[in-house]
Amino acid sequence: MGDKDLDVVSDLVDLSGLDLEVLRTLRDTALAQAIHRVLQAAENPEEATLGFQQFI
Amino acid sequence: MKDQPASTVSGLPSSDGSVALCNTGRRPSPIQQFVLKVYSRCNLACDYCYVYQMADQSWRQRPLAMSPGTVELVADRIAQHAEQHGLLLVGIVLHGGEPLLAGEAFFAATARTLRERLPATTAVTLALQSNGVLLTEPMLDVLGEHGIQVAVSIDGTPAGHDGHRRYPSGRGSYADVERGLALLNTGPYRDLFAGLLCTVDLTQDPVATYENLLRFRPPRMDFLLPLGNWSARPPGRTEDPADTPYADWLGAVFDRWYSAPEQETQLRLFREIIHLLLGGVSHFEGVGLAPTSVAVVEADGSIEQTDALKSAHHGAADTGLHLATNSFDDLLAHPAVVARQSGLLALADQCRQCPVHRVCGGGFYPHRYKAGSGFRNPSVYCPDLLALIGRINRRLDSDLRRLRGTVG
Repeated sequence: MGDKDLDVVSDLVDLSGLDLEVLRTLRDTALAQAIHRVLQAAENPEEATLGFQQFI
Repeated sequence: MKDQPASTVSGLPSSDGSVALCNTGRRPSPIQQFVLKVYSRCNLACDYCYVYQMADQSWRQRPLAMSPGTVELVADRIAQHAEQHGLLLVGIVLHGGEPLLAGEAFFAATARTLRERLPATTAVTLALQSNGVLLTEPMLDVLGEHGIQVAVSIDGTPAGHDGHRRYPSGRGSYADVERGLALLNTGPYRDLFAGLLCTVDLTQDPVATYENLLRFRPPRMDFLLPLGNWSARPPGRTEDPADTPYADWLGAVFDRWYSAPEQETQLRLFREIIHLLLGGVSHFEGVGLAPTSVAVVEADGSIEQTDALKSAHHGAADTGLHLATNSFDDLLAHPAVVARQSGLLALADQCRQCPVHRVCGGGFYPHRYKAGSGFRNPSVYCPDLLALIGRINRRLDSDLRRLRGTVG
């Protein structure tokens, strides 16, 4: 997309160092759901598009 | 407020903005969500409604309901777009006004037309966003028969809701929405329940608002920031960047939602922020840098951008395109849509330097508007977004550090 020359910084959360197999066994908390979602996205890459906000 | 000149419809003056974006060689992302404004009037008179109460008054010129001929036309245009781009799935949202005013027969005929005319290789999801007061058994039977999901707008507690979402007579609508939601939660209708949308009201208690919505057992829900911009500030959003009332309000809900031993509902804004912080991509236009995939079709067949832009200035969502003469590919070439599919390139300079720009994505596009400079600004909610994302980031980081210690 031609972004490579832009001077940007980032502040994402570090997921490295986690035992993903153990994470799969976490209870159904918001964090567990979030991690499961990231794992699913890693296995089946998501299409990056934004949907309509005034609908859920 | 004066109309925005055509040359700056995207908020990017053609001398240095939209033309530059058009010339980047980017490949546009196809439209995958089609919002059909099937009914142009509403039975409520909510005080914050972007369709009727804000800058744009174009609804006055629209037909009452989308005609069968226009439904056929939109179905054919969606089919054309799906075939051209090989889309395996499209989402169609029936919207308004209040869509249920169109009546049971309309939904049966519209669902049949849309499904009949789309390619066999393209799956379609049908849903509607309603104020909920007209949910009856005959209506839900028809919606169920045609697989049309139902999302409802409700503003938390009875007091919070009735403070804004009233009939033209002034009577609050909460009791009627509550009755509709009770029916939607009954027996086979429960499977049709898509979720709840609630607009943030700073005068209401955030946790009480959230917990009252939980009573309806929504599978999904979201809190929307009130529409506003730099030239028409949202309620309580002062000029002082140290003030973060919306981050404080939403942060209290986040703590309540996130801390539940078992997730009680999928809360979209928080889920998407978390997903972005963990390296994923967002799927709704409130946050994230992904390209927009939304087209709005008005009842008369006009093709528009996300209609919340109507909160900015009269005609802000207009594209000059119409189903009779234009395809959805024509929309993809429109400078305003090019801007909204250009991610980082379309952000204000100060946004690019911000550590959370990939998460907030510059915020919801209508919130960036400033008369005279268009949309290439940070969100009017920038201080709140920064504070809320920081709060969620710290909580995530803390929990992940704890997990590393536990499992490592």
